[in-house]
Amino acid sequence: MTQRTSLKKRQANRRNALKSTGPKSSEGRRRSASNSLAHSLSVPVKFDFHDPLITSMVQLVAEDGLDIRTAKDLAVKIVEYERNLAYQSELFLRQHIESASQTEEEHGVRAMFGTEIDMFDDYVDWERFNNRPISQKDQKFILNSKLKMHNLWQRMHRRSQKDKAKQAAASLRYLKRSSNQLIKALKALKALSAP
Amino acid sequence: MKGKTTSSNSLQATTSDISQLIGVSQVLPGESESMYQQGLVATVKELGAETPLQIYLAEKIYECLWWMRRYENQKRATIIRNMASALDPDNLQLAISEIEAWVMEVLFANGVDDEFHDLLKEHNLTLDSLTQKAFAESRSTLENLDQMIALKAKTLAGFQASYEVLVNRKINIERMQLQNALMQRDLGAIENAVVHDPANKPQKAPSK
Repeated sequence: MTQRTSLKKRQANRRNALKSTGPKSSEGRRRSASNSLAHSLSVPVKFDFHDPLITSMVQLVAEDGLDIRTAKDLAVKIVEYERNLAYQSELFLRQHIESASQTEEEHGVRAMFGTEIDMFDDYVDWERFNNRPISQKDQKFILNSKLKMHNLWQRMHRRSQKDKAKQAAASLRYLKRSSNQLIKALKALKALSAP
Repeated sequence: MKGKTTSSNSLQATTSDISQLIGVSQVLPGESESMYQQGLVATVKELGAETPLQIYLAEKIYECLWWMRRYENQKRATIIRNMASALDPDNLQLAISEIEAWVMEVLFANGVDDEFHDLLKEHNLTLDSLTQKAFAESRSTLENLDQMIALKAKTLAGFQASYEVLVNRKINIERMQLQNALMQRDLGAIENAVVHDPANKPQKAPSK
């Protein structure tokens, strides 16, 4: 059972909503301005009805005895849904199938700490070249440093995974919306009479 | 050879024209294209889709089922990955170690043997406790995947209802036209009754 919001509560909500006027600082405004560009799914599809591809799609949709206006409307919704679905497939591939490989980790660590790793390697090579044994203290230091580098990379990798998960949740909302709109438009055909 | 070509042609023909125009492949790398096509052909045939929009909707219905199966497979893979991780706790890297790869191979093939049981004993685990541990580790991922399955099920129900609307549209239109005709006839009957009812005739004034 859903409870209806009381009048008092609704008025309070409206008053509170008036207080929220979006980001105020220039940094906040700049960040929120690029919100829609994160995945471009909130940007509506630009449909050129003179494009032969689009025209043939509208004709295909209209084959079910629909008028051109309804067919165009449905075609737009189909394209929106397909766009969202394609993005979901891409995300699924990125999230679940492409797991971090050994080489990816090695490359990542090298990209971040290339100079330090080279310094350690040069030191080890130099000591070997001079036939001097590397002290246990140095060995431990090098190992610990490399472990820390790997840990840092893994932490950053996890953070980026978290960001991707956030993006996935946002894109899911767009997929839900586009599928609902398509289903709604299709169900509305029931009320339309034959041309 | 000839038969194969014919069957592949018939598979191609089943893909909706609308999808062909959009040109999006629904099969991800590592999935069987032929399996997808077979299922799609069966769905389109079972639903009896004829027009491009009907075929497109049938395709979307099957696609929802395909996605649900994909998520189920992913759930299984997540559990197996965590089972493998539990059997090699020394591997701190994200990359899969040799032991993990072997464990995953055994579990994916359902080929648990004595060697596997020995490895379990080494870690003081049984197959059940290992599964339980993996479930606990992958709870959030499984919840997420379950939510996705639920969403697909909802979309599937929506597409099924839409398909029925589309198929029954002509029948509905005919039914509405018949209902209109019936209402017109009834209204006409009332009008006639009003005009011809003797009780409604104006009474003549008495002569006296």
